[in-house]
Amino acid sequence: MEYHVNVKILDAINNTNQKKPIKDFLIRALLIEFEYADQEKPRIKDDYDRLIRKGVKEMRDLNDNK
Amino acid sequence: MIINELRMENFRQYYGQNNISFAKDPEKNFTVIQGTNGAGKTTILNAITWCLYGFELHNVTDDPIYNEVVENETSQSGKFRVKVEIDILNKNNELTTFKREKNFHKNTKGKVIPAIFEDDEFSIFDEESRNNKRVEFPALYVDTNMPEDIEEYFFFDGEKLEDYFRENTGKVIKKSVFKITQLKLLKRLIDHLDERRRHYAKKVRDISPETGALEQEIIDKEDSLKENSSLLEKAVKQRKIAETKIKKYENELKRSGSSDIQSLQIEREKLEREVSELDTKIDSAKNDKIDFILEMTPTILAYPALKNTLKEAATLKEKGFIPAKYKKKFLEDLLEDGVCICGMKLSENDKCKKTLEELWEKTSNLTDIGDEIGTEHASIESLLEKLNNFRDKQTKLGKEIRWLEKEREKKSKRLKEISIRLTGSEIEKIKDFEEMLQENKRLQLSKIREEAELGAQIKSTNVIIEKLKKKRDKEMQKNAELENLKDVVLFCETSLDVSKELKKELIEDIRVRIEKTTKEQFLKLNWKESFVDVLIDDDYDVTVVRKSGRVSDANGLSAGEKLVLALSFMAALNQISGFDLPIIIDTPMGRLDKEIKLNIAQVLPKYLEDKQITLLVTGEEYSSEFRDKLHHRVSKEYIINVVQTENGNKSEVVLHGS
Repeated sequence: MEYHVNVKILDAINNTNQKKPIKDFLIRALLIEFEYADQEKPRIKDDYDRLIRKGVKEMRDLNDNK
Repeated sequence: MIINELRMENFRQYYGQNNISFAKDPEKNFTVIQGTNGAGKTTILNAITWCLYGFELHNVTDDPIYNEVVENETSQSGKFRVKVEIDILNKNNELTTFKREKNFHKNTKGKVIPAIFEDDEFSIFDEESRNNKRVEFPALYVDTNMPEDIEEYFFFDGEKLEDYFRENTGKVIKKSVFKITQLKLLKRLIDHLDERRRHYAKKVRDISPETGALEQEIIDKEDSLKENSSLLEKAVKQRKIAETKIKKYENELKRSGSSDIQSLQIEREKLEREVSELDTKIDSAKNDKIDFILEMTPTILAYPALKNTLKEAATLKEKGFIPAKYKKKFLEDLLEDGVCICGMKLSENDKCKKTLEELWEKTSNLTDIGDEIGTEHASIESLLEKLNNFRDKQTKLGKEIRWLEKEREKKSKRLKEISIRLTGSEIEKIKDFEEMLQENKRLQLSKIREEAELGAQIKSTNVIIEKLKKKRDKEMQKNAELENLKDVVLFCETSLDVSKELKKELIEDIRVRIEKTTKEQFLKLNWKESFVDVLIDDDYDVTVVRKSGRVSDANGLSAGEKLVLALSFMAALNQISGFDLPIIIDTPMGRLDKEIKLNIAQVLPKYLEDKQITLLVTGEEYSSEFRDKLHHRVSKEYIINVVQTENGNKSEVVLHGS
């Protein structure tokens, strides 16, 4: 499914000097915000925790593979 | 993206099927639909929003959405439907059709009610799925390609455009910018992430109160950083307002009509420029003085040693060691090797050996560095000479600074005199302007100081936060349970820092782009050519600068200029939105005088040249002169005819001239 999040914001995230897991996390979180825009979001905490866990794991894998 | 065709069936004024085909030629990108008030111009906008979002969004009334003729023609227990279809062409010329329909039936009492158990039926068919296969999740499709949030920046009411430039304009515009650029998504991301980060900080506290206390201290410091940053922003804004007012009152004094006052103000501006130049010169001279002292400090400290070196060197020269006839090290080597310079073995010639030993005794150790002493001698002499000039140069620089300061004092004194004369003016208005001017100058100065203090505080808080973080990370490494949590906290912190920085950068980037496009469009559209600049500050307050140098906010513009500014601003918002949608303007010039309308008609073709533009106009707006000026860019012209029938009124869209 293609989401229309402003390309400028996505570009700005991709152009940072951050490691991939951080960039991926921000893009995923942005898509969640887009999906839940203007709605009650009972699951937002769980979604964020899931994304943070995923990001931390990716970061550890990245550091281990160095 | 352009609208290819709009098909309305029984939608409000439009009885039966009414089709409107829109301009597709980029050279003739205008469609004009003309109709009297109430004929159904705004209904066309509402038909589009009803089809896409399920709601009418423009000048909504409580009247039912179905046509009154079809209602009256339908017999009891009979059915009818309301349907709107929009054909959209994307840049690859691929067609997508949006369709919404709603069924109604008339009960036995003659009352029209929506078909029971039936919601509006909304469907989308695109080129690929044309064979009766619908696009899955049509609402999401609309949300991703033409979200309702930004609809008003593409389909807008000309009469309401000037609402953008009333009280609190900046606030309204900033909100629009956040909405249209989806920066609010980033803002929410920051809020949610911050909330999760605080949650993990609490977890840290639960496991280790000491580390938790450090974590809490970091959060507290970050809160204070946020508070100070917002105070700084406020101070900057207040300073900028004061500066705008200073400019305004200075202009008022210059345009006061009294030549005395005018020349005093002109003299003051000249003096202020000179004082500012003198300030720069004083700063630079003071820096030169400090730099010179710093440069000479090592020489001053080493003065006795340098003097002694020169003395020693003179003695050595006197004794003939400099330049050295023999170096002590050389003689030592000969003795060690046991061979004289003439090649004779010293073990075989005692006399020779003795001579060499005596020579070695007499030769100073300094002969080994004789060459260096010779070379350095010149540099030492030059350093000491510079030092001899130290006092002279210091005196000269001091004199220069005092002279500059005296000049500055003279000019400042004259500035005070001018201010006293203006404040004491018999003309009440002048007195008021001067008092307001001075008050704003005081405010400007106090805000500059506040900015500097807050800036320093922010800098030192950042340093403290970094130190606390290092300490906390060290503590966390001591506990295995915390070690795992450390990665999570760090991940949240980094992501939070990055997103905050991104938000800041994007806000500035967007402001610059909006300012640029608004300026470009405004200068292009303005027929009087009396403007040279459009400025949009951090708070999205708009200022325009005239050729004469006069500066005013949007409220200081005429009605026509305000409309042009609003159109330019809409064009800028439209461009930064990232959405490629056509533009429909309802009654673009409703409230304007005839002359201004004609001027706008002249410049309108230059407006958003690469967009499909549809104008919904009244006959009064679309006069023959207006039509003549716009005609070369119009490829479709329609008229909405209102027909009276025994069952009520119905509107029909017909091609102009048909």
